[in-house]
Amino acid sequence: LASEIEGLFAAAENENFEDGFSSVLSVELLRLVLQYGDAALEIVSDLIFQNRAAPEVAAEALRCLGQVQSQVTHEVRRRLLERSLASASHVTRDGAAIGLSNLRDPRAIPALEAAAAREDYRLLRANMFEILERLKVSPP
Amino acid sequence: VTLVLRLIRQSRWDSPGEFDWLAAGDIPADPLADFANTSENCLSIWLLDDTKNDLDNVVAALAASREKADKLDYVLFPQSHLDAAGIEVCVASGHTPDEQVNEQHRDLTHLSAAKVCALATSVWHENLEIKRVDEQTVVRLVADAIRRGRISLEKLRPKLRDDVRFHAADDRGGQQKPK
Repeated sequence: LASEIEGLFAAAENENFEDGFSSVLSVELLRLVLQYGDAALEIVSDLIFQNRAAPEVAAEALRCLGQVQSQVTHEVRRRLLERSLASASHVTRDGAAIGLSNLRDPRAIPALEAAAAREDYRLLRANMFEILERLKVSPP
Repeated sequence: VTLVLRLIRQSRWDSPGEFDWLAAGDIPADPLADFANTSENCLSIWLLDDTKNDLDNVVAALAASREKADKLDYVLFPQSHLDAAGIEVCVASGHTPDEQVNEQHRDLTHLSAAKVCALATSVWHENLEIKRVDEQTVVRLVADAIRRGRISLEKLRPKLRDDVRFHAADDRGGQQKPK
């Protein structure tokens, strides 16, 4: 499984991600997360936090993780997304924020508030505040 | 004043402040990617009037052309930037499910590397808005456009059609998207 996900991430470095269209990375990652659950997420987590994923690839993966329709992996995905808000790359942090926006879980509010407070990229910080506003009016 | 809308990736235009490593008048390379992705030396843009009254229609139409609901990033800038860069603007109908919005589409043609650089530089230094429309708002705008008869639900791709249907059901307090 690890080599499959690592290969997927490596191949994705040559992929041109386009908003509104599924990427090979997102389709395959979705399949693997639904099939292997937390085991797949642990490998994705290692790739991101050990800086073995290119920022654009990490961002696409994080966006995808916010869209997975799986209650079983919800908590692990939320924690992974929250932790990614502290990434050194603003592109990766952007992907994490979008992922959390798509996850629509108000329990991410404290992590997003902390991330927004320390964010120095202006547009990203504004996006985080907008996500926070939406989460605060979301039903629990 | 006529405004120009170009789809971008917002993170390419973001910064923590001034770039102290840039020469005066120069711009970072990342934003260039949103203007350098030409095809046959052409780029796609959308014209809006300066009231921006038609902005939601254009955003809905662009979103409705996609495979699935997703955030939509754009930059708005005055058309004068095109004139200043000596760029040719050709009438070319768009390919969205909204016929009226399609009339607002233009092709920037005969683009050279110098013209693309000049345009990206102008837009970096002077634009009206760099904006992200989040996924939920995108779905709402598409659903509104369908309700107003501007877009036909049948013209949407299946995944996006499902997202819009879930939104409509959610609005009625009914069906929730499964987790």
